[in-house]
Amino acid sequence: MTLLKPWRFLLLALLAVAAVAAFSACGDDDSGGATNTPGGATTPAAGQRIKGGTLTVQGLEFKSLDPHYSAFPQDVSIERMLWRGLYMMNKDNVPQPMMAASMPQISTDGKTYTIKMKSGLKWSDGQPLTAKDFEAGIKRTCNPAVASQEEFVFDQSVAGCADFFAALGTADAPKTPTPAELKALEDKVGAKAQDDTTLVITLNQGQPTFTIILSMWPAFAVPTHLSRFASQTPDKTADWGVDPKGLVYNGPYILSEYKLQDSATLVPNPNWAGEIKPTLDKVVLKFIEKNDVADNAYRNGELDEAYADISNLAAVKSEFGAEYFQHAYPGVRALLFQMKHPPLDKLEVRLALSQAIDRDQLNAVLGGAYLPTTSWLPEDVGGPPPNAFQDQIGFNPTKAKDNLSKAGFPNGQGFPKLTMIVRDTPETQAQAAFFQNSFKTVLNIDVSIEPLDSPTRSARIGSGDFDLSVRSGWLQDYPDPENWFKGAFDTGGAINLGNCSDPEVDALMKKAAFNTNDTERRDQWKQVNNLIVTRLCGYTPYYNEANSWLVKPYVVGIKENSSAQDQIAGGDWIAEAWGRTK
Amino acid sequence: MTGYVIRRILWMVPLLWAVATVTFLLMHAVPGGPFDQEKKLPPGIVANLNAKYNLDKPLVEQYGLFFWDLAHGDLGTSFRTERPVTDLIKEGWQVTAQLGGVAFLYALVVGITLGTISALNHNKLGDYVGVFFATAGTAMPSFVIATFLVIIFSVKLGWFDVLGWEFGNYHKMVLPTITLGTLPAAYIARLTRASMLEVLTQDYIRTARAKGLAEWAVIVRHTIKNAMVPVLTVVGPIFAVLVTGSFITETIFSIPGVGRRFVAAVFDRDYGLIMGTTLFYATIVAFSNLIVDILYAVVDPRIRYS
Repeated sequence: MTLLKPWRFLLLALLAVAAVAAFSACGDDDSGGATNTPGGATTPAAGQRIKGGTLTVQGLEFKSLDPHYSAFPQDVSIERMLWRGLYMMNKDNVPQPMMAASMPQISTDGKTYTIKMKSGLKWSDGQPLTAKDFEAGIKRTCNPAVASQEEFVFDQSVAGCADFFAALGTADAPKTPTPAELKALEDKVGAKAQDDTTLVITLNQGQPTFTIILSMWPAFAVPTHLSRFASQTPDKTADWGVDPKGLVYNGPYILSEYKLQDSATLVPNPNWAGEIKPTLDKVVLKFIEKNDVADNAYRNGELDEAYADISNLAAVKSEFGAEYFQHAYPGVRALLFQMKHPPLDKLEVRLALSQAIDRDQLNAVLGGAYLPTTSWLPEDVGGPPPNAFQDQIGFNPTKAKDNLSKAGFPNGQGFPKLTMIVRDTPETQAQAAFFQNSFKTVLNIDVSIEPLDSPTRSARIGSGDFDLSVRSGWLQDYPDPENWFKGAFDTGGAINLGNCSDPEVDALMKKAAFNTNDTERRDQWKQVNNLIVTRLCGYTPYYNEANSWLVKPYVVGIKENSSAQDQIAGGDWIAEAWGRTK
Repeated sequence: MTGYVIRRILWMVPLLWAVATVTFLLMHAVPGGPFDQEKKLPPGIVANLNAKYNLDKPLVEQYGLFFWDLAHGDLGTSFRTERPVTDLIKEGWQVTAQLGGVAFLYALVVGITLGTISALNHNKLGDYVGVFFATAGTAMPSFVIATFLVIIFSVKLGWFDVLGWEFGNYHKMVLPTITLGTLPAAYIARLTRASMLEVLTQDYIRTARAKGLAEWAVIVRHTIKNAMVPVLTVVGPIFAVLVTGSFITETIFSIPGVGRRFVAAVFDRDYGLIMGTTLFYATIVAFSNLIVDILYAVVDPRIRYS
């Protein structure tokens, strides 16, 4: 063989690479085994919903399927497809009867809820679904052995729940109750089935949001007819499990297959009692953590719905056109102040920091993925418009410098170096860099950034070992203003991370918590919002969360039903309404 | 040889104990626990969670409990999934082992073939192609290779799938195999080339040719076999790395393997799964090295163990 000079070889190699690239650019998207749907601007497919078909959507793998234990959105998302409670919230966040026949009868003192269930309800295996199952559900959430992460929704409301949940004591003062003692505590929990279709719940005091709470997953039923639940005792609770064959369901779907780290497949529940019946043969939830991977699978036709990759949002919007949609998510992101660390205990310092942040510019840096705000409580949940506090805490460099000077640090002189802790992800670090730059440019102060992984950061926040924390905030558990404040702003509150302590806030929160006059109550929460925002009591909010999705034109029920109740996929709170037009 | 093998297996016991102890200590030294979340849980809930998983007990007691369970064949429970660690590893490893095994075969076949062609065509086109592949394969990170493959062969051409793994379905096998196997293939190619070049200069090769042996016999019977000893040294660790999972490949192709699960366990502080998976990995590596040592003796009769 003739020896080729190296440069000829290099030329050949370059030609080969160019040929592959050109070939791929001209390649037919529909070749091979995968089914491709072209991206780009398309109008939604007109047409009737068909009966049948499979929908494959991006999901996140659940950490637990036990509704009495779960708190994570990925758990709640699938749990609401498989089970439903006595009530369910509609798109306007108003509870409606689901397994219940009507709204609860509430005693005049607000402490007793009598709920009549629909007759003839069945689990997916054909066994009756009774009031005893719902009684068992509430008690299971209050059981310390289950260690429910959402027990707090019943803790102060349902009689006996707090005592039962605290039965094992604390790490410093552990208790070892006997099985009989645990049984006695369980029996005192205020949930009793009067007969097969009547459940009576007793509260410590009237709680205006209790019907909303009954829509949540901690109140879902337990299939007490299954042997492992029938034989359990308060000290030895049965595992909920994840084996599809070991579970029964009362929701619109049944879990037919679960592959660890891969997917969950759902098929319609023949005994589903809801008004809207599923039209799909199958829903496949593919567990994909990275959105760029999901977007490639969406392009390749392997997914019918996926999260949009917001790190490249402008390009995604341009490529996909009408297949892209965004919806506000009931969450707020804020800069968290540790008010026990001087000089963050001074309102003027907190104001200066807040007024140095250009929220619109920050959102532009993040690709327009979110909704800038100055309010803690979003409008969707009864709060004011996002710019309601622009004058008080919004971007204003002049006021910011002035406040810093009033605090005793003119032009940043003598201001101690603070540290911002932040999760070690590209997006959150970009936010931190933006704040660092803003504080330097506007206020001439130095703030360092300390990236940490999630558990370390959470531990530091929990122990108060931080000055500032980026992308803290709140994600809603249930759509009522009380969920946005309780525990987070009252002095000594369990999740009062910034150490906010304001007597006026405490007094107003106490009034609002058990005010049975709904209009008055909501107004009181709005006033709490006003106080904690204008006084920057622990936080300065900067954007409301939003979800960005891609949905194929032939899919129905996702975009239309997307609401503040979405957990993972658009419209996943009413997944029975999902369907296809071809 | 039998005695040697038995001694090596017995030595694994203290080795694995040391691995488990170091892992346990490091795990608890890292800040943050399994229930430290973005949304802080009320203290009562954390207390009950810690009690449920024995995390409220002193470290010494937790250490003892772990080894007591291990002695009974129980690797513990995953805090996050509440499932036995053994089940999680078994399910994940089925997939990881398939992917790793196929990638290993790909790496061996491609690597040895390219390395051999390179050596036999020293300073000719075949050598340049082999060296180019070996250099590119070593230099490019797997996520770059994967992105390149996915964009061209899945998104543009639609030949292969982006998601998942299914043994026997080439649509799902090709891209993850190439992604995972390219770096080891490149490394094996370079090592094979260097080793072959060295062996080809040996006197016994000249003698074999002088005896009138066909060239293919010289290459296959004398050259390749003797050139494989250095290659075998790296094959064991390569095999162990491939079959214990690649977080990057499994994440990019959304493959439900052990690698992805292990890294997630570290970030989640899922102590049960971290301990179980680490022990599992250590066992695989130890056995892989033992098998390599045995293969040395097979390939080179001069090597004998006592």
